[in-house]
Amino acid sequence: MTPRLKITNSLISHLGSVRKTSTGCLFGLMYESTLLVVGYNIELCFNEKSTHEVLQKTQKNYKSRIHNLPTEVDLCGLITFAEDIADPENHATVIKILEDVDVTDNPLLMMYSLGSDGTSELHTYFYVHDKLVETPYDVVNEATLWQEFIHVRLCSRLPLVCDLEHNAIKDAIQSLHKKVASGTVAFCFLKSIFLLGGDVEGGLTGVPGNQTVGDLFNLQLEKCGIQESNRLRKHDQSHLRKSIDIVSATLLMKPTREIRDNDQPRAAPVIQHIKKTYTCLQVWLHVDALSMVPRSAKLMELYPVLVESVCRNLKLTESCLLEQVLAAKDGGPDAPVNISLPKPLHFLPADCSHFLTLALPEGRSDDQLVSYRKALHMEFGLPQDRPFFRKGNAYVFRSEQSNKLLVNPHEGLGSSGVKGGEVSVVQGLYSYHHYMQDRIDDDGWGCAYRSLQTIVSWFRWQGYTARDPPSHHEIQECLVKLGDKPPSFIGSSQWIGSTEVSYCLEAMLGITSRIISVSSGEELGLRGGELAMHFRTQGTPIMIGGGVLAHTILGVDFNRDSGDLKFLILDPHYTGGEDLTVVQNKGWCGWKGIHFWKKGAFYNLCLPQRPIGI
Amino acid sequence: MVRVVVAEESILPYLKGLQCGENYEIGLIIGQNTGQRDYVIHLARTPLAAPITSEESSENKPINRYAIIKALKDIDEAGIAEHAKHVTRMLPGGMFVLGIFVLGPGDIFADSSSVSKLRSVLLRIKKVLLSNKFLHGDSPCAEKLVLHLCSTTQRYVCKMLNPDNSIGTPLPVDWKFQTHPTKWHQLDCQYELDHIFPVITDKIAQPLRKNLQEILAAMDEQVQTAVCVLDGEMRDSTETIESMGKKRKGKNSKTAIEEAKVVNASLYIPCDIHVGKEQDLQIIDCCSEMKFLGVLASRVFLHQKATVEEAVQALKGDVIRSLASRLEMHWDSLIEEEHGSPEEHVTLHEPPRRVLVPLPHCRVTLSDYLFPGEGASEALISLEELLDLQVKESDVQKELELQADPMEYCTSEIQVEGETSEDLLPVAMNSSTFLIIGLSVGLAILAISIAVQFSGWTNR
Repeated sequence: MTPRLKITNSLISHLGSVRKTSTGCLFGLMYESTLLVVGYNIELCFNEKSTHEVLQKTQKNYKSRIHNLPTEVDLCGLITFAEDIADPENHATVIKILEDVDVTDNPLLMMYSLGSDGTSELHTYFYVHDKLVETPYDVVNEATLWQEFIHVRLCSRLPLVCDLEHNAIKDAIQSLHKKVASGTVAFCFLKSIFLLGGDVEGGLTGVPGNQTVGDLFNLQLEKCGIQESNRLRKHDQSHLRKSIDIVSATLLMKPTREIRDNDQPRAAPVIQHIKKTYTCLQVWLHVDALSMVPRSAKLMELYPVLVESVCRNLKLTESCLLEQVLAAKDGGPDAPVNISLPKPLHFLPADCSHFLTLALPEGRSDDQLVSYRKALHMEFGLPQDRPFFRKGNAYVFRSEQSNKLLVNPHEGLGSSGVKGGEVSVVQGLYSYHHYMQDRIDDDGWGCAYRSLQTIVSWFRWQGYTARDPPSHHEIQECLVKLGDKPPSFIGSSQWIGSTEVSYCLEAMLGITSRIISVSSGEELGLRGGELAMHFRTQGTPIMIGGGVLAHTILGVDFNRDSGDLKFLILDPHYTGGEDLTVVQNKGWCGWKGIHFWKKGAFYNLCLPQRPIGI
Repeated sequence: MVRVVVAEESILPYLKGLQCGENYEIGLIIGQNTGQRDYVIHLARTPLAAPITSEESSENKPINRYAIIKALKDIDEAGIAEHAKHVTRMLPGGMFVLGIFVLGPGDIFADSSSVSKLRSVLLRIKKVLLSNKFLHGDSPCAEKLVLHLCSTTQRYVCKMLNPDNSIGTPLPVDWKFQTHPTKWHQLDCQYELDHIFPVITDKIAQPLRKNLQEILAAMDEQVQTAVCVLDGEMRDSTETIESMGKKRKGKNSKTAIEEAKVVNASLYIPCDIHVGKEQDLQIIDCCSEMKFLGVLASRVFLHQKATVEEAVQALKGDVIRSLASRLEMHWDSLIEEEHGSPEEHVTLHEPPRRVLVPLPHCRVTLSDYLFPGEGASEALISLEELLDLQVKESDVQKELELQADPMEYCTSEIQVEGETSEDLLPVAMNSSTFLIIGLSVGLAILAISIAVQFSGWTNR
């Protein structure tokens, strides 16, 4: 029986970004006799090769890309982008590769036709009994996806001790790999639930055998504190990509052997003392691996999934180490050995509906990895004008958010009420900074400081900077240093305005801003198009100051024809706790009409400009 | 509640059989402690602090092995403490030197000077055991036992003393010889060593002993964090060993006679214990590498009411105690360190391997360690010497761990080394032939060194 076919809507909408003949792999999950396709990549072809050649390269490379994906997401077929999708010469190669797709009995072929007139068509075929059978598909929206699946995140360390030498590293990781795959590991959840592997209920202890991953997630919520869980339940945001549900797991290694009855006794411990002068590489390899499993999956079935996730992670770490060793070699025999710890980071680029895990050398700066990122952008069809794989872009899981500030509190708000309006809002994530946070009583004077912090958090979340939002003190110091304010300004409770905000952005992040001045609140009503344009092209939060108040504008809902306009406002004057319900219901974050602005006041807007580049 | 000590019945005749007349006889109480209860499995007389010539004479006149102690104050504290250390090496994890027994006239608890002598003996034992950290030898109970059998009245009395409390008086203990022997549950585990320890160039002059101690410390730390799986299942730490597996059998088991259990144990070591302790990535200049290979067989015994927690502690203690014991014996046996050989070469260190010897009256086994080439008869010597035990050679269980084949490790090394093996090959062979010659030549030396080791400590 051929499986049912589902495709995520982000994948489908993303297909349009590919404008030239190319081919790539499809990534998907099999569950409940359904194939869910979550992503694809495109084989990079810099030289004008024939489709045939590209396909062969695809075949060679597809297996290693799998290591970057969460376990359970596997290669499930091929995708081709062509003007004429019925080219018979390519057909044979495609089929040959499809036959090689070992994950599923029914590999999938997606053909996307690049119509010259801008129209495009998507055809999907399962390869069944040596024939391509066109199969209809359902579209899954992303919110459903994040609700149906849980990511199991395994974090641990594995020791690696070997010669600092290419083959030795390879061998040592290989033997780690073998250990992990040979059943000498166990997994632990919530410190008390163990998964030991084996035939009897997967060696699950600590919970009944019928427990699902979803049950475990709920248990984890309960354990992290009733208050926290109530708050989360009241405001379930699991459908939002900023709060994807994660179950944490740790790894254990078994140094003991199983004792079997007719086992030959083994030799007693000895110590081989090898005297040699050598350079030793001693690493606690970071394991940070994701598995994407349906909420309904049984815990007892997770053992092989988690083993595979460790193995994929080890592969990433291995190539990261080996590349560094090779690069060091290229520097000549006397070049200083500079090997840096591979750190697995998870990325969820805006257009992807699956995580990509990359092992990046800890000691290398983002600037040193530009070409690596560039290739990734191309492979995954991502725009080249903004970063997706800088270290700062790494997905921040709920459990690791250092401060518990609200992230994107505007998400989940109702509509603004503008009839026929077009909503344009900030792109990506920001944190809500407001009065009284960080134990600083800035009630009555710190609103612009807080708005600036929100803007910096946006640049932080989007990976443009690694720095945390500046404190009031740092902001004041910065302005004094720039000569904008006298030294007495430091430690004072004086206000700042839009220009000061732009100075700080320039000095701290190298970000330039556009300043718009309007002579009255009413005049803001005429700037709808301009603001909408800003959110579409720049996507950064805007700081606005006028009279005695500063606010952050997160978006506009604008009807070009009627001129109706509403502003999505984030109000820094909020003095309460980080409670999303209050913030949304009491209007601290919400849609405001033109009357929100004072008629007689003069307003300055600071529009930070997003740098172009990856 | 008064602390209760339960001793195997067969111990009483042993005690009464020790003839000492007007003199004193002293020895160690060996067993397991659990809260306010102790299970005593054996008493071992402390042998004489022998004169140097005893090596020859002891074979002819074994009776001279034990000292003639005319007064309590003459007790050789250091000798007893050393005895305790050597005995502890032979005990499975979970078994400890619980205190001392004294045979002699009068009431040793009557006057304060005697009590203070007893306390200082106990303190000395405790200090020696604590200083050998990896033996995990100091018993978990702060109060140590003193059993006195009056040689005139043949009456025994047991009291407990806290050696750290210099003014405490001996407290009463209810010592019982029981007719129904304690049931001992047996826990088995095979710990596979597969560790590589680089030795940094700065430590090139550091003696082997120091290197091995550092490695022991690292392994001890690892093992202590381990979680334990018994018969394939993670158990609640308060569950008793006795109740394990009962649920499955249903009600039938109630009527069945409770058998002492044999349980297979596995250890799992959490992989995140090193977070933040040291740099995650280090590039080190090294002068050598130590590879630990082979399988350590562990077997511990738990009293009939023991909990999973107690079993796990005993097991972890056993793995490290056994490893530490054999490494200590190994470095003690090394006559000189091979220093000053700067060229590459491979040495195979073969610490003695573990053999088990059952006690005559219960299933608990004690350990002995045999150097390569030694046979069961060597084990008997140390058993008699240190534990005052006569055991048949056929009772020695030698098959738990096999003697390693040195050739195996030399060839495997060559394979591992790949291209560089060419220059390593002859060296490796040399060192193995050195080993074999060393073994045959060394047998005599070993015999002496063992004699020095097992009886020589009394010289100090």
